[in-house]
Amino acid sequence: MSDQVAAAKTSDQAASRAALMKLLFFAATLAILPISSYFFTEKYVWSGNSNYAAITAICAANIVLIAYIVISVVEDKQSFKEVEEKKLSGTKKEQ
Amino acid sequence: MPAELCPPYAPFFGFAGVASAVTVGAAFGTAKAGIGIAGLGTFKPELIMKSLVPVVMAGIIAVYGLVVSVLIAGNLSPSKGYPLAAGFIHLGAGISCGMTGIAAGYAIGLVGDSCVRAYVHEQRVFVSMILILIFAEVLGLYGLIVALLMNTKVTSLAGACD
Repeated sequence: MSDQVAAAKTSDQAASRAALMKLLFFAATLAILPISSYFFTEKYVWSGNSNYAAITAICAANIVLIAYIVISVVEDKQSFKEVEEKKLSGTKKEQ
Repeated sequence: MPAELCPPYAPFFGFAGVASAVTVGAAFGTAKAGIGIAGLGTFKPELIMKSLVPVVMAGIIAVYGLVVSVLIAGNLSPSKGYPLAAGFIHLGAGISCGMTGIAAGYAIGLVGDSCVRAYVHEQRVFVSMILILIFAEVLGLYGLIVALLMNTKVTSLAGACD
């Protein structure tokens, strides 16, 4: 019984750590990617035209947003499936 | 005539435009949505990852303000000739992005707070929350587009101070 509790606690810790790393990754990407893409494309891609570079930065920021929404929805579906599988295995063991 | 068109106080308006594009609305949006997320976290912690979307969207509003500030500051040249008209254009561009950022951040904050609280009880609120938040954020994008449009007019003023 205590082994199961300890195993559940470590898996919970691992899951929360993974979620935290994911959040930190998205926060860092949202802070760094748009402004760095602005300067990079202004210099190398659009040859000095700053308006196109601003549009590129906005597209990069919106891509980060869409990626976050997609990943959160996919992760939610995965965790829902895991919960259902646990319920099924629990009922099978009881039988 | 060039001395009238390019007075020495012209860069003040340009830099005021840079400062006014800065993120006030995003802070309000993050704070208000964060209150709702903290309330949700006490009941259903597994929903936190999905409920952080309003905070990410408020961050995007901040990115819009930052990009406009960098854009305007890149076109400023106070040491070379800087016409007063260019200063006013930059001020208008900064104000348009800043005001729409405040409005969009306010909307994202209120919508995020109440939709996240409703998400605790009803799972299907999530899709409607995303749609409403996207419409609120596009308001900030419109302000940025207007700022970009204004900024393109400055290049036609080059050489007015010679």
